[in-house]
Amino acid sequence: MKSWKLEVGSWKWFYLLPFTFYLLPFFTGCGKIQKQKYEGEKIITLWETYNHEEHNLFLEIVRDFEKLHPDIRVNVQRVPFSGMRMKLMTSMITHTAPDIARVDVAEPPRLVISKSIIDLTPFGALKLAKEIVPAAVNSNIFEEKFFITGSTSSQKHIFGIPDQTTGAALFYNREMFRQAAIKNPPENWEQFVVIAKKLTVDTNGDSKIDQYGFAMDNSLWWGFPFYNTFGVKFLSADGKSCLLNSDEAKKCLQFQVDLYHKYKVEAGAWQAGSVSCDQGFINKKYAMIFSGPWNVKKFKDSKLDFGIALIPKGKAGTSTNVGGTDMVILREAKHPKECYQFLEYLVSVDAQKKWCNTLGQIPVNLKAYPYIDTSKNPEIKVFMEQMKTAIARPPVIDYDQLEYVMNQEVYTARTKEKTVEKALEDAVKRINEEILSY
Amino acid sequence: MSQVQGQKTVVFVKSLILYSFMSVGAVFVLFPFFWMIFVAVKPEGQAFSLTVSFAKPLWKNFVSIWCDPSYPFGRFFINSIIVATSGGLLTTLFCAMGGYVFAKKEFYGKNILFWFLLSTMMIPGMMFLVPQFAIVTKLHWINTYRGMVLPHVASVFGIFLMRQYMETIPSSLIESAKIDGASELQIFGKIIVPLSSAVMTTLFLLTFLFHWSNFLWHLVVNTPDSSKLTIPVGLALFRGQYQMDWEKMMAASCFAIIPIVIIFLLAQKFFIEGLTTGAVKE
Repeated sequence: MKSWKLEVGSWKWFYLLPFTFYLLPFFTGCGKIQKQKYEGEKIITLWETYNHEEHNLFLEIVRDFEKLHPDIRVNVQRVPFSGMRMKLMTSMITHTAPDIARVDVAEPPRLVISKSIIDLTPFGALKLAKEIVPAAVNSNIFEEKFFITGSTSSQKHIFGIPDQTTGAALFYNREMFRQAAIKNPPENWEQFVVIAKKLTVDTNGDSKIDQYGFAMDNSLWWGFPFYNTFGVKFLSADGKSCLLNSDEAKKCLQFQVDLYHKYKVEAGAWQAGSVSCDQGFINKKYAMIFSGPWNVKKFKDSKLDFGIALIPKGKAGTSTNVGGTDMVILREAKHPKECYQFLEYLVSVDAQKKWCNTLGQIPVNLKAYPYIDTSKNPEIKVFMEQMKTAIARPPVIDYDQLEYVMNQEVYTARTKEKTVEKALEDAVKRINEEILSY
Repeated sequence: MSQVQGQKTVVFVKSLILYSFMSVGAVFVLFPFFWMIFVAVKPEGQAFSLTVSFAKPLWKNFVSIWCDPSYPFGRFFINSIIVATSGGLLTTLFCAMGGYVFAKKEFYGKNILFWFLLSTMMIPGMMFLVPQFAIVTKLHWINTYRGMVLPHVASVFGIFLMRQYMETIPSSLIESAKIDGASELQIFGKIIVPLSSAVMTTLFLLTFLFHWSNFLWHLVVNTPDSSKLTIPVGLALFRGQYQMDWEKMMAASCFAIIPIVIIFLLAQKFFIEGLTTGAVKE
């Protein structure tokens, strides 16, 4: 009979050796990097979500700051952008949050209400805010009644400093403009429709339109240039009710619907499965789109001959949406004063000059505007101009839900499943019930 | 003769149709891999450009993945290997033991306990994230392989899979071993495990894949400066707020799929067998 026993001293034990070695680091935590210790220095931990290029430059700016403040050390840690919210939430629950975090521009309301971040007003941040692009900094400023239950005070408090700002402008294909004998990009929506009609053509004579004057996305964020230029107000002054059933809102959404159905100049890029705005622009299918500075390099690399203009003017002039990120100081920060010193440096003219001239981005500090070398990045000039007219997003706690509701309702209007009036009425009802009734 | 010829023609036509469908299927399956490699050899910012251009040198993105000091891809890779293999081995071991008990042992409340365990599969995984993270933090397992692997070792799905398979093993085999003087551990190690190798391989592969592609848990259970970050977290670093570094992400993905491909190629026989064996009771 075959023996069932694995005897001591048997060669079979050697099978277990590699497995034991394999599991050794698993249980001992082998391979831990020895962290450098900084004696007598105040260490700030900062979580950021920059890409590679930005990250490396950010480290340089941090080193510049540390030279000026030898007693402060900034420990920069990278977090994937897509995981930042979850990471931050779980770290706050277990008290392992960093001192400073870089968050999306839509995050501050939620963080303020949950008292996760500290008020920067006592550090004099409202004074600093006057130097910063208004639309970018306004997403960090809240009236007392917003975050203190029962308060009716309109006194303003600031909870974050924008480190990066961005917004959309009108991108147009110069080659298509030349072919249609159009000299300049449109300055207002009336001109826009006329030009878009000229650019919507059947290029190969098969009786099908294969080049469209314009293409637009379905999301609310990309809709803000329309809403803002039409003078649409989203919320009442107290922020408790939605005003999207106003005449301006109806005219604005009707105009968007008409671009596709009545004027037939829009490609239907907002529909699921269609060619995206960026891709259609690269492929020379769409003559005009809304896009941002982040796409300039991509379009240039694609050998496109394109120009950038301000968003066409509406009743409220030209305007755009606001994207970007803010730096906030977390509630359990050990050295809030030093954290604020760092944020102050980050938006200083020197740091912004370095950041924007290297990366071709829009400065957040208005005082840095004259120092930006637009000869290397002429496009940035238009964005800098456009950002002066940008309007901050509606200050709601759950911006994602606002996007969700609006995207659904606007889609039904664009597909004519609902009338513009009905879609907006439904949107108002849902926003009041689902978002503003906190 | 003509009948034979006719049969040959029918077989030929059938094969032609079959191979045509399979070729179309193969194109659909292989296209993402082709696109991944194609984008990985493109110059920066050209992922979606219709003009065909290649990075100079061709392997530039691959080299930069491994040589960028601010992007420790090698460490991500090793960590992923350790976590996925440990997770696969330990889950398979514990689930095999659990499945064996539920399949071959009798104890009070066995069925109730089993159905209770099964009912936990109805709870979305996200619900466990915060409690598990709180426990891992209390145990000081943040930034450790233990923290990444152990909370997922007890897999209800794995126990269910094992139990279903092990129920098909004749109990007479176990009784014979007992008569021969085998201990419980020996019965498990010498009879149950060899007979369940196909389904155990399947569970190992599924668990390996789960750990290999687990982004959220590995992100949450590590601080950003941790030396235990894995490939999914590393790949996510290529995604910015508005932009994605597609070329480098695809270059990194080319390396990331290699272990999966190797393991599936080596174990595909077991994998298919494991998924189908026990499906039909005769």
